[in-house]
Amino acid sequence: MDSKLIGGRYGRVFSARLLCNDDLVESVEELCASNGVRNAIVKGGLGSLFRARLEQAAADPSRTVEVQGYAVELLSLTGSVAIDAGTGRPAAALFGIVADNRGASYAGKFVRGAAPTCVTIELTVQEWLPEAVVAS
Amino acid sequence: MSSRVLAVDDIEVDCFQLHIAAGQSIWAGVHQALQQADIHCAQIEFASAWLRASVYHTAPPEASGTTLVKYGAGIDAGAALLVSANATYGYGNGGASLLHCHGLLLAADGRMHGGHLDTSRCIAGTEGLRAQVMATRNSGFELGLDCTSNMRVFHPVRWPEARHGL
Repeated sequence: MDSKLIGGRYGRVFSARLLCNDDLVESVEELCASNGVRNAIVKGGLGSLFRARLEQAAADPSRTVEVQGYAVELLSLTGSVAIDAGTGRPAAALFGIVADNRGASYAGKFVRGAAPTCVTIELTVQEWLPEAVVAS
Repeated sequence: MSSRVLAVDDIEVDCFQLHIAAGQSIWAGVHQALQQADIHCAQIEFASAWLRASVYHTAPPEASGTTLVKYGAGIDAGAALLVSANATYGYGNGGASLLHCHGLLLAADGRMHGGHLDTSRCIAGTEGLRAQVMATRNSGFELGLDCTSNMRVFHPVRWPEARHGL
């Protein structure tokens, strides 16, 4: 499969806060769904979680690490959102670094439904509006 | 269960690269530059760089239950590599500026650790620090009480008029 270059522009920027017990991945998807966002970049995020399950091997999604002992601090966050062809709804792929309450750090892809917000998470999401394939 | 995410949108944003000088703290470097540019709200992403000194906090559960968690004493990681950090710059108590910053540090002993950075005690090393800044004109974050945790945290806010005009 060849690479391709897609032209486009950035749209709206969302400043958001997640509430206690709401899941990180599901919340980003909900933010996009409720605002009609089909493609987006997660520009950054920080805050705290009760726990986090992180995928650490692309070839084996079952290989995960469980970070326990709140507050698990979310140190940095990146990712993207695109429409899932199967469901027609926004699906988020979020990657980041967390630290437990002893400061020990872990990285990986956040598993949907397994990263509930503790006190708060602040994040910024920027809409991406693709226009045309420039080269492929 | 659907999420109760709080969000405001903005179409007017300005992007910058911030250079923090060697010896300057993260707080001083961010606040000085953004205040001078009359920017009040921004999302900041730090590039990896050396720190001359670094201190961070973790937040274990608060024993009495008065608040959900309580930040412990600062953990001194000394001279370290700031591997990654995200920050939110917004309005704190009484309208004063506030920087909320979390980061991952590689300490001199090879240990990776991190948490809530004490940005006034994280000092840029000899090469300084760089960060990408995205400032929102009509929206941002403002400190407010979160009733669940009984802690004051950033909430997204949108204003009827632009707060800066760069």
